[in-house]
Amino acid sequence: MKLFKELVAASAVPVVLSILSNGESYGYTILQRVRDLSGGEIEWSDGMLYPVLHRLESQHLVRARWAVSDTGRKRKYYALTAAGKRALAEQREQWQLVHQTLTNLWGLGHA
Amino acid sequence: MPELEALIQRWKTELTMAFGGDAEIVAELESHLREEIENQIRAGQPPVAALAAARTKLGTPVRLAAEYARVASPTRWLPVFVLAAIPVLMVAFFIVVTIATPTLLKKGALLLFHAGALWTGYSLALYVCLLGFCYVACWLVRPIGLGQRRQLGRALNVANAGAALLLLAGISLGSVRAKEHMGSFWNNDPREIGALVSCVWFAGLSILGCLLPGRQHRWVLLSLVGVSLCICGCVGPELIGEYRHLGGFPWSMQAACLVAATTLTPSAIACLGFFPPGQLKLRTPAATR
Repeated sequence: MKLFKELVAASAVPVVLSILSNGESYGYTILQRVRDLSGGEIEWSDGMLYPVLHRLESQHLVRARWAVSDTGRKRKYYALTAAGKRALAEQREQWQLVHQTLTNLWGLGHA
Repeated sequence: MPELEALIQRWKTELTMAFGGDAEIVAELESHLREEIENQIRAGQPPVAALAAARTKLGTPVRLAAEYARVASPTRWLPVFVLAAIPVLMVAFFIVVTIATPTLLKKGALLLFHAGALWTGYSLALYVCLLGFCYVACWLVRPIGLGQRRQLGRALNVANAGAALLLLAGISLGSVRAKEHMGSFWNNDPREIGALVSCVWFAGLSILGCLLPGRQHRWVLLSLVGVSLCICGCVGPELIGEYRHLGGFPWSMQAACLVAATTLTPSAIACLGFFPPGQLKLRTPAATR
């Protein structure tokens, strides 16, 4: 199933914030995590993620630091800030509300 | 794998150009590309094919830059505001000169508006020129951020469109006046052609700037070339003997050289934009690998 472009774009921020709530991470792993968690159904283009991270950083929802990995490669790691945690809580509430509403609607429809 | 490394470096140069030399973004995307290449190689792809696949997945540099530009909010870039005073001051100067020279007023409103439109159009070209100088200077030392580039792009589009419209208005009013006084709309003054070429150039750049906002670097450099065309079209004909009709100013060889140098300077500055970004910056160790 291919998700609508608008839905992919709208869900990008809560998905990234949720992944980062489990600990700091970098672009490549975030993409892989999205792919794994969605069973390969949500396939973000590689170029889409970095501008989102860039925007979250400029909004101070995430902070970034450069670090050298075990393989000797420099990577930019992202972590949630306190403001990012608050934004995630807000996003979660909103998405749960949307989810609940749709569940109720479709549940009633099937009844 | 020297071939692979050379190809990566070529890709990195393209990316650097597209991002106006923003080293941090380039380093992060390069790190991503190398991860993907390693993954592809582990999956059994030959190195060059792995690079091609990784590049395709990441997207073209221009598309990536456009994605970034979309999310970057315009940030204040001081030269845009400071230099905006130039057209304003020049228009104010024109108004003062007009008021102080009653003979010009007596020649009719058509001539006044014709001269005013051209004067303002050329003032905007001067604004574009100085903005371009600032941009190239930054490019050589320390590139400006994405948000600032976005603001620069907008300012450039507005100035280019404004210059094109004002020059068109000036040419049109001049043609009407020429018809009244000289009998024909066109071919009375080679400066008409100079203004028309500049007008078309600036209009084209403004349209391209709106259609392809990710290529600001290119549009800034081409705008500087447009300024050269403007200067050439405006003062060039004065160098030709038979067209010295603006009070018969005695052009010497030195004056001719000065005009030629002034004309070529914006284009020469534009050529500096072809150097890789940060040429005058002290080098720091490579970010990735």
